[in-house]
This record gives sequence, structure tokens and C-alpha cells, in this order.
Amino acid sequence: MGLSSEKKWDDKLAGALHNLDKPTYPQNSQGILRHKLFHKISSLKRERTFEEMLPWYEFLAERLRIIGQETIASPILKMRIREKILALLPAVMRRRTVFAWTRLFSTKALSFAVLTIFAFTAVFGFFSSPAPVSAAPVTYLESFEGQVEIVRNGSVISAMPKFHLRDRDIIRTEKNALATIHFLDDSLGRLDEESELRIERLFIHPSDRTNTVVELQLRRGRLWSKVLSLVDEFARFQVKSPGTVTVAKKRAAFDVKTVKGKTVVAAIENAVDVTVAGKKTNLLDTTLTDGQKVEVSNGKAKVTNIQSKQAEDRAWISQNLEADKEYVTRIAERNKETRMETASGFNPVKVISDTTTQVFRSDVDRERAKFQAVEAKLVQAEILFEQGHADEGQKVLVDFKDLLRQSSDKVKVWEKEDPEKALVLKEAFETELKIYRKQFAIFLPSDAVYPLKEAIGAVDMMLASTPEEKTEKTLGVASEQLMDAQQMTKDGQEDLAKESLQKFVATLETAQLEAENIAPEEKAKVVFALLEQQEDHLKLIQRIADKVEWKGPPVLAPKELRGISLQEMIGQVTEVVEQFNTAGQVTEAATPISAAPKSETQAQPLSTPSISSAPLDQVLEETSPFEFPTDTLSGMTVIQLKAAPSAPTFSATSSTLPE
Amino acid sequence: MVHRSLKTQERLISGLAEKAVQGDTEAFSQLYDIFFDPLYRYLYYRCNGDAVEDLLETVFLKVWMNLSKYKTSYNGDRPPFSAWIFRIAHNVLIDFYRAHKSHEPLADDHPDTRREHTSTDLIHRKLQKETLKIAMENLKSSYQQILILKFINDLSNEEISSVIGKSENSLRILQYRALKALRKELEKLGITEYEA
Repeated sequence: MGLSSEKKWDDKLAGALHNLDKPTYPQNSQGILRHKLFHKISSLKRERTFEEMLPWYEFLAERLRIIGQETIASPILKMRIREKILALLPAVMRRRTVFAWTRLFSTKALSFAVLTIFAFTAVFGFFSSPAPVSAAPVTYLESFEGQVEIVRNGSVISAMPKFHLRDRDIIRTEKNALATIHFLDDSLGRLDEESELRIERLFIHPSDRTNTVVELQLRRGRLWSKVLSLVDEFARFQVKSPGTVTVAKKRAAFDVKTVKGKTVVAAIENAVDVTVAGKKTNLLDTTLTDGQKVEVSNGKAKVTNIQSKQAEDRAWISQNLEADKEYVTRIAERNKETRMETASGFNPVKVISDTTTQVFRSDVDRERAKFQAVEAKLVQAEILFEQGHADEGQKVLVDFKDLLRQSSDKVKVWEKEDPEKALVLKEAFETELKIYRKQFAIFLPSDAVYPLKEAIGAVDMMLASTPEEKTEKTLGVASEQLMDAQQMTKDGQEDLAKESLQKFVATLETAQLEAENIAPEEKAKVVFALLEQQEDHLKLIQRIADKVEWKGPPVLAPKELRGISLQEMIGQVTEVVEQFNTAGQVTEAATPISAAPKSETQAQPLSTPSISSAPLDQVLEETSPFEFPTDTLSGMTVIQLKAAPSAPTFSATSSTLPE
Repeated sequence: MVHRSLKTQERLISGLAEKAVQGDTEAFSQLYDIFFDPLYRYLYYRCNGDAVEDLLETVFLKVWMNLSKYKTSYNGDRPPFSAWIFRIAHNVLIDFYRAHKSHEPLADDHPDTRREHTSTDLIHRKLQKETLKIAMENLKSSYQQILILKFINDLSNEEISSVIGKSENSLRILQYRALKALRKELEKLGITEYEA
């Protein structure tokens, strides 16, 4: 075929192809296919861009921050690790000089070192406490009825049993609800219905569990507080409410109610300090003894006896007092179990012989180990008293005091040779004794184990290094005896009340004699502190004697007792107290020091004379133990005065603050 | 906010660190108070609960033992103290992982065979501490670290850069990837942006 023929064939083929029917998709099938295709496209997940996701990431980041703030270790864990770390620091420091740095950085060497140190400290138990098996105390919701909520960081949480409470938590109760709060110092709070309580501060010292602070703010409603025992000088239990700040002393039960701008603080057992704020700087700073209340409203404050005419109030008080008794019994049992566990299987004789034969790192450690023997004696005595073997119990207590006397003598020797060593040991003993003082504070003269409380008081006085310290400790014991006398009176046990008062008088006389040994330059501050305390004593004494118009538990009127009447005894006490008041050399009246600028306060003369050894203002400024921080309460500035007592009153009077 | 509290206390921390270097245990005790919670958060999300306490102790002990190193090293251009502490915590954690290999966090692309989440098993959850911890367990170490340091402990990029040893630019990229990875883990747990 020539070229021309091929070209003709190509043309024919192209023409045929051109005219060929092209296959086409049917129209309706196209539509179905389109529909299927777009459906598939729309169902595919498209990865969104960063800009589209940004709000979610921002939210996520913010949420992580909030969760981060809420991720906090428990205070118990924090304290536990702190104690361990601080105990190990000196040992770690010593090891620094022994090992090369490269060995220290090695994980294995470090682990071995840490384990060795832990084993070393575990064997000698330098930081053993009467309750080594117990965790650090916490504050929690002991029980509740009805609708109770906790507000934490703005979140509302429904109450749960044993819910742990923290600083800044708010507890709210609705109608017919009740919340009972157990605080870290073993105090108890009962929040009535339709109330709101904010926990301002909870503090417990990691190595001294008697050094506690509980600060609450009652925003509305009613709070019953039962403060079991505060033994540390810095411990406090405080309730703020509109216009008032109430601070419990040692042990107390008190009621705070704030409704519609009116606040009423009632002291039910023992005494509480109450400070009332006013618009100007005229403030009321007083001690309410049991049976007294203060009503604050419209800038006025009125102190009266409790006269609960309302059945509701009477029921509230009597129910709480009843519940308090059960609570005290429970705490006493718990503390007893702890003491028994500590002492179980412990042979004090073996410990004493061990301390003479074993090698200790220092004399201080040896004495600390001996203290374990002392603790066991206390438990032995407790068991004997409970079983009715009072004589044997007393013998063991004599051993207990003797053992501690040996240690305290050692402390006194070291105070001259090595004051730092003496201080370390003394502080260790005092910390341990404080725990026992706190536990035993709830024992009353009517309890079989009451001698244990007296023994601890006596031993505490033994550890005093200076006359002023001894005088202060002695007065502390006297205060306890007086509170015990008051409780016995209320319980209708007048013989025991009389016995406690006799002991109180004897203790005061001892304190007075000790005060004679105080150097003149120290006497001023000690006597000033004593004067403060005597005013409270006098109020308590009067309460024992007075017949108060109170619908609470019955208070027996003083009656003739064999030999000496209660009234005569009170006369004796008053005489001793007056002797105390004149113990210092007196020349001129004192002017109280106020925390507020002088121009804003009205100086009120003290009812008792001042000391002439130094200008009183200077003395008080330097040495007054009553410094409290300025605080703000409901928009009004509360400045707690430095001890400006008015003349002691022997009968309940009402006083109204000027506006 | 934690970072603000560390930031506002920068001067205090610096002063305390100087004292602690001299052997002042009281200053060290205050540093303990300041750094305890941030370090707790750092460790809480990166290992199981039992180990946290031991690791915290180890971290603080190591801080104490190495205080003189903080003073003498870096030749005057030392990082912020908080960054230095977190660096120690980071190293302690690495040692812990090496010693307990089964607890090493999984890589990002490792299939999660420990927990099976089917659509029927998914429980509607809110983004809380517990769910976050579960989600974080599946992230790789570098993602966990950046999320905790940046968002949970609120450290600055400069501080994180000292801890991790990456530039601030790299940190921004790492931060975005970490958030993205976390988002995916949260979605597996049934937590979406609409339900967080």
C-alpha cells in the first residue's frame, strides 16, 4: 500500500471514530453518583486548623491551670516529709564531709545513705511521741444532718462523712440542718441550721502538736464551740463574728449567734476573751466567765448574765452540753488507747539499763531515750488508778517524778556548761509533757486518774529554769485547779470543789513566794501578767459563789460545809490574791498601753498599782504579752487592746459602749 | 496562680536560697514550704501515687545536698532557683523511670492496650484531676513535662527552658503538640471540647 492509500485509511478511521457514539453515563445515574460522592465527602472528618481549635486549646490550658491549683498534697504528707527531711539534714551535712561528691551523686550510694540514716533514727526513736501510731491531726466534718454544703475555691461540694476541711473552706447549713466539725486541736464546733462558717486559718506546728491555731468566721447563724484544752502559750481558738472576736482560754464552751446584725456571745463553761469593735476606737475588751454573755448591736455592747427565757435557747445549750460530755468521753478513750499502745510491750527498767550501756550519739539522745521509760511509768500509774489501786498508783507516780527530776537536774547542770544542749533537751521534754498536759486537761477531780494531771503539772514546774518561768507555770497550775473547782461546783460535788479551791490557794501562795525570788528588773512583767490573770481568777471565784440566774445546768448555792464554809474559803482566796496584787513595790498608777495611736484611745487607769522599777509605759511596751495584730472585721477595724482591764467586778453588771 | 506566687516570691526565694547555701536550715524549711506543692504537682502527674512521697523526699534531699553546686556553678549566670529545683526533680524522675521501667510513660504513637475504650464503654467524664492523670499517662515524657511545667505549675518559658534544655521557640512548638496530643487522649476518654 502506498503512502496515499495509508493516508486515505487514516482519514477514514478518524472519521469513523469521530462519528462513533461516545459512551455517556446515564443522566439519572450521574445524579445518584453525585449524591453518593458528596455524602462521602461530607462524612469525612476534616482536620480543623489551629485557629479553629484555638478556643479549645485556650480552654484546655486554663482548665489545666485550675486543676493544677487544686492538685495539692495533703497537709499530713507535707508535714511528714518535712519532719523526715529536717531530721536528716544534719546527718546529710556530716556526710558531705565524709564522702566524695561523685559518690553522693550516685543513686545507689544515696539510697544506701538514706536507708542507713532512717534505720539509725528508727532504732533510737528520737522523735517518738506519745502517739506514734497516729497521723497528724486534721480538721474534718465529724457528722451532719440535713443539707450541708462546703464551698471550696468557689465550688460547692455536698457534705460527706469525715470530709477533710481546709483553710478558706466555707460550711453552710440549710434549714433543719446541723454540722459538727472536729478541729485539729480536738476542739469541736456545732453549726446550727441556716448558718455559714468560714475557716480562716488552721495551723498545727509540725513538731509540737499542742501549738495550734484555729480561726473561724461566723458569717451568720449560730456556732457552739467546745474547746477541750489549749496548753501551748501560742495556741488559740478564735471565732470572729460581726462586731466581735471571741478567743477561748485553755478550755471553754461558748456560743456565738449572729442574726440580723445582732451578735450574742455567751460563755457557757469557763472563760473566753471577747473583743468588741466600735466605729470609733472605744473598744470593749473583756473576759466573759461562764454564765455571762455580751450582746452587740448598733455599735453598743451589753454584758449581762445568761437568762435564757426562750425554750429554743435552753434546748440548744442543754443538748450541746450533753453532746459535749459524750465527746469528751470519746476523746479520753481515744487518748488512753494511744497511750496504752505507746507503752505496750515496753519495759522501762530495760530502757534505763540500756541507756547506761548503749552508745548514743550524744548525751541529749541518751536523756531522750530515758524519757521513754518515764512515759511508760505514766501509763502504769494510769492503769493502777483505774483499777482502784490508788496507793500503788501514787508510788509509780513518785518514781515518775523522780526520773524526771534526775533529767531536769541534768538540764540545770548543762544550762551552766552548755546552754544550747540544755535548751535542746528541755524543749524536747516540754514538748512531750505538753502533749500529756493537753490529754490530761479533761480529767476532773472526780476522775480516778486525776492524780496524773496533778503529777504532770508538778513535773512541768520542775523544768522551769528561772523564777519567773516557775511563777508562770505555777500560776498555770493554779488556773487549772480553779477551773476544776468551778466544774465540781457545777456538777454538785462541793467537797471536791472545796478541795480544789484549797489546792488553788496553796498553789497561789507558792507562786507568791516564788515571785519574791524574781529579780527586780523582771518582776514588772511577771507581776503585770499575774494581775491580768488574777482578775480572771476573781471572776471565776465569784461565779463559784454566786447564784446565777441561768437556765442551764443547775449551779448549787454556797452552803455551810463542815469546818469552813465555801464563802469563807472564797474570802481566804481573795485575801491571797490581794496579797499577790501588792507583791511588787508600788508607787504610781499605771496607764495601759493600747495598740491604737494614743490620741484615739481613752487611757483608763488600772485598778491596781504599777511597778516603779522602770517607767511603766516602757515596761509594758517592751514586755506585754498581749500583742494581737490589727484586723478588719466586717468593715470595722478591730484593734485588740493591750490589757486595759477595768476595775474587777464582783457581780455581773451591764455596760454600754458609747457610740 | 502558682506561677504568680513563685514569680512574686522570686526575690524572697533568691534570698532564702542564698541563706540555705550557707547551711541555714530555717531558710531551707521556708523553701520547702514554697516549693512543696509545685513539686508535688510535677511528680503527681508523672508517676503513681505511692512513689510521689519518696520522690519528693529524694528531691528535697538532693536540693539540700547540691546547694553549694547552685552557688558555684553556672559562673554567675545561673538559672532561676525554681528552674534549678525542677531540673533536679526532672533528673530524679528519670532515675526513677530507669529503675522502674514498667512505669515509663508510653510514646505518643504506642497503642494503648492497657485500657480498652469502646464507644459503649465510654463514660461521660468531666476534665478533672483524675481524668487528666489518666490522659497524661499515655503521653510521651516530653509532652507530660511541658504540660505540667507550663500549665499546671505555670512556670515561665525561660524557666522551662532551663529545666528541659530547649530553646523558647522549641518550647512553643512542643507546647502546641503536647496540647494536641492531650486533646486526642481526652477524646478517647470521652471528653470533648463540648463536655470538658
